Amino acid sequence: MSESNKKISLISSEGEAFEVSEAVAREFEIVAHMLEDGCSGSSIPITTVDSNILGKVIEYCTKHVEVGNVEGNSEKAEKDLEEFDKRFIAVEMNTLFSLILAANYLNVKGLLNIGCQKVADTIKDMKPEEVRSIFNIENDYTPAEEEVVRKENEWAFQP
Amino acid sequence: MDSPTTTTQKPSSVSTTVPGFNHSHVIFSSLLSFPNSSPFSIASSFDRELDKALASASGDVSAQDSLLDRTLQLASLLLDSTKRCFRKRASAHNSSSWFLPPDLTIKVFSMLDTKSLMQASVCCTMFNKCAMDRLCYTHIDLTTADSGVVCIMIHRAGKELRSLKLGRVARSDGSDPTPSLLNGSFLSPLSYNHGFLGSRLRSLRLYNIRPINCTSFTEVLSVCSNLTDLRITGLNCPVMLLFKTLREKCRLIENLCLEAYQASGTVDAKTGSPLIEFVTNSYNLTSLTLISFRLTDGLALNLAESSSKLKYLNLSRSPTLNGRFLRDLGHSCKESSLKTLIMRNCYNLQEKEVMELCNSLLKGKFKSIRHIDVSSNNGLLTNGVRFYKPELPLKKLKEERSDVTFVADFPLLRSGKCYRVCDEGDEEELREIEMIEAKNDGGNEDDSDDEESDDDDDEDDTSDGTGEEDDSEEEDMEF
Repeated sequence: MSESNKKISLISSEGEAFEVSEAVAREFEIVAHMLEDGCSGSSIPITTVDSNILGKVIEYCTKHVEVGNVEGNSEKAEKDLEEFDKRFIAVEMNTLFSLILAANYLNVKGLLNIGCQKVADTIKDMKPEEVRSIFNIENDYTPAEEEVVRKENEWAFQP
Repeated sequence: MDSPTTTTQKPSSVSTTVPGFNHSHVIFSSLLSFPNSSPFSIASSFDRELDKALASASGDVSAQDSLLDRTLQLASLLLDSTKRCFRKRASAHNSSSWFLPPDLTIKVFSMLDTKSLMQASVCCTMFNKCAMDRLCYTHIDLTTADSGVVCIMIHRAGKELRSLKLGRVARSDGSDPTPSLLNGSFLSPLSYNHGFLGSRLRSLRLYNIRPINCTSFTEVLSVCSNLTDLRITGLNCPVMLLFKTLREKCRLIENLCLEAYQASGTVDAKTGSPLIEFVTNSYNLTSLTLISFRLTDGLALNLAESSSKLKYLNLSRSPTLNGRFLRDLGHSCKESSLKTLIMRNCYNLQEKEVMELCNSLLKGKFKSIRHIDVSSNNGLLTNGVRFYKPELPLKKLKEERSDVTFVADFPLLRSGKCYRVCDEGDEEELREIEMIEAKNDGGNEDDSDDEESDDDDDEDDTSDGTGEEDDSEEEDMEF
């Protein structure tokens, strides 16, 4: 049969197998490289990513492959995809971080970018105190150090 | 010589503490396991012990002094140590709640505007460390803060510098651009060391920064040899000098967007020759935006024809264009490569020229064009009268040229509804620029559109009829 119908199993850290088409698996650049290097085994262990996250990453890649295959009416398709990305990335912080880590490891550039962008958008225009509370971060400066850092960037704290 | 044992003892440094180590270990661990009792009782028993120790040294003042000094020192060491331990725990806590590794944190930070980055860097030591990475300053965006720290940020970026955005995008209604904290030399680090930093720069956007010292600015530009994107709003430099520099030094420009603050002299075939030369010789130029330029139709035609690469042309808010060049462009045997043509809020745009454009489109001219926008708050002119509902064959266009989006929106100003430019992405900024002006127009507009009478010599390129426009323009500016 044609290559596009070939199925590949991706194994999560818990050992759960996710069967995906080769086209979707190739969205993971790390897998694409493996396939190109002749690693023709039909199951590939993704040991650092758990089932929950791997499932999500596959969902993302599947959607993007689907839309990429549809011809014509590209503007609408693009809009849809943007909407999808927006919804997809609207998750709580821990999941978002895990998605970013997985996208980085698997080398899914699009996902890595929208993930990082989402975090950046969350930080944007926030005061340090607000950022701390959003991300559950504690102040670990000595008062003197903090004073120095604040002084250095004094302009950024003026309204 | 030194025995091996002494050398191995060295790392634990203060060798004198080593003999007492076990001893102090016992004392401190019993101190830490001190039973929970009231602060008062702890304090009073400590007072008692201290008094006792002082009493035992009575008569020897210096011994008492040194005892107290030592105690103070000890207490503050304990305090410091406890605080240090506390911070260490906080740091560890932070790296578990923010579990992105430094390289990804830096990636996130590189997406922040510079002000937000500075605020984030105060959160914790890990953020601060990451926020010092050169990569965080690849795209310096100081549009959210008016500040004189540009030079520092440029130096932080060093060789990673790629883009620079400065100034305020929004210009408060018609007033002078907010006087900037930036002074003439804010870009000078770009030209240090034979333009080492300038040559890294790919994108430079300056919003309403004034005054710009033109000579030093063109000097800076001349080292930015890899610039592909340049946007300046509120420009009040001799603009032809700018084009000359761009043509000679910035040969890779792809996107150029300039908004003149005060429409300078008329740009016709003669005065505009540096502009034409720039367009003709910039082989990468695909997008050109000249807002609020007093272009003649002859020059606009020349512009559209002189580049085979130009895909996007925006001549919005030109007070002089009447649209004649559209007809000529349609008749010209040279097929233009233009995909997008924007002429929003062009005060003197003639209805019949827009009609001509529609007809050319229906005849199958302008093969590559996909998007045209001639919307205006001032309607279209016909014999000096403004029409807000011109009868353009939009329906027919839609049917016969479905490949083209033709936007022609002319809201009546009296209805209070101003024409809003709807665009996405990168053009959001342009929209903002045009909206500012739209607000001005709205506030300024009395009945002048009715009085607008016959001094319009229709197809005349020398653009009469701008006398009046001149006045209103100036009113805008002096607000």
